[in-house]
Amino acid sequence: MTIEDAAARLKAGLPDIMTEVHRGQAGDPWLTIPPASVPSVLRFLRDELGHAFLSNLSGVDDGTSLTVVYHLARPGDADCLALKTVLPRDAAIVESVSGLYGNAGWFEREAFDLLGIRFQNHPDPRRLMMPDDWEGHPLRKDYSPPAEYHGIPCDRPDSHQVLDVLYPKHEGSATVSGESAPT
Amino acid sequence: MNVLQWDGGAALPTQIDRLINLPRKNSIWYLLFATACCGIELMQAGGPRTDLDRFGMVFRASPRQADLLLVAGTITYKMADAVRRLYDQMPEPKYVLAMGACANCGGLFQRSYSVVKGVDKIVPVDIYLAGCAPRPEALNDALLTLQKRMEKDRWILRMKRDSEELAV
Repeated sequence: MTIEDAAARLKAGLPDIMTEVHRGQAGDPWLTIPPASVPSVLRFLRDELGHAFLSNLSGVDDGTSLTVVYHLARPGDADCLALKTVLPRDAAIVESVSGLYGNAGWFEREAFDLLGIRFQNHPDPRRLMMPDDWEGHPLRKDYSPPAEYHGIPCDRPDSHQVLDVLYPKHEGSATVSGESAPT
Repeated sequence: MNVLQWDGGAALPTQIDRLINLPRKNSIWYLLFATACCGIELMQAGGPRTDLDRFGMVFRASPRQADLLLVAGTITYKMADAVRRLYDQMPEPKYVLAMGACANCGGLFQRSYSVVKGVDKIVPVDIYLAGCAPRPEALNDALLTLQKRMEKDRWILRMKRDSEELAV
């Protein structure tokens, strides 16, 4: 089933929901859906079209908005069906799909932990990788790490700073951290 | 060597730590604490080729029976409290060996948001073993180095120091 077939079946089955097929310059095409329709679209895809397995659920921060990407696998299809839903940065809330796909639970915990996307009605909405009392979501573009956590210093000088201390006049010491030296 | 002799007996004045250190250094029971790929090398070091058993080193699954906390692998902030608690549960005298780049300084992941930049930020480390991951032979060498250290250790003084630190 190609993505156009899936979009057409979705259009016929759920006519109220605005979906659109996108093709990038490279990579797989994807289907955008509005955030409010995520549970109904995924339920339709699972029950009517046979996308039985949630292959991946990931979050993306492009600097302006947050995106949740669902990859659904269907027995017999070589490619996954990619769905994207774009959320506003200040209110990144979407309905959890862990009731539809059991394995979504940990994916959603990861997306919440690292990007701060909140999944409503999640059965266990704890962080996954960071400690429970950690502040901030590390993969957000506006994140800055804390100075310390429970007395453990968190910063680590980067290699430029270390070289500046060890060899004050080494080649490239004038380069600002983060910039690459001109070649 | 001075031998004190009197009627019907003799005594050898020495330091009691020397005597106690001898069996201690030949029975290092290490706590299995493998959190990453270094743990595979640690298991290999316990196998027949390197055979830590011939030095009296056997692994323990409980911190309360262990002399050595062998941190083999990456430590995250979420794991940090557990490492500290395991160290606190070990009886004195105790030692810590940081195995591999991650335990030494964070290694590959030292710029990561979730990895502790070296286990010495959490517990005092006696031996740093470099490598990513160190081979079993390197671990064996580190443990023999630790044996040499334990031989010279004045652990009664060490315990006195620790109890003073606790009192403060």
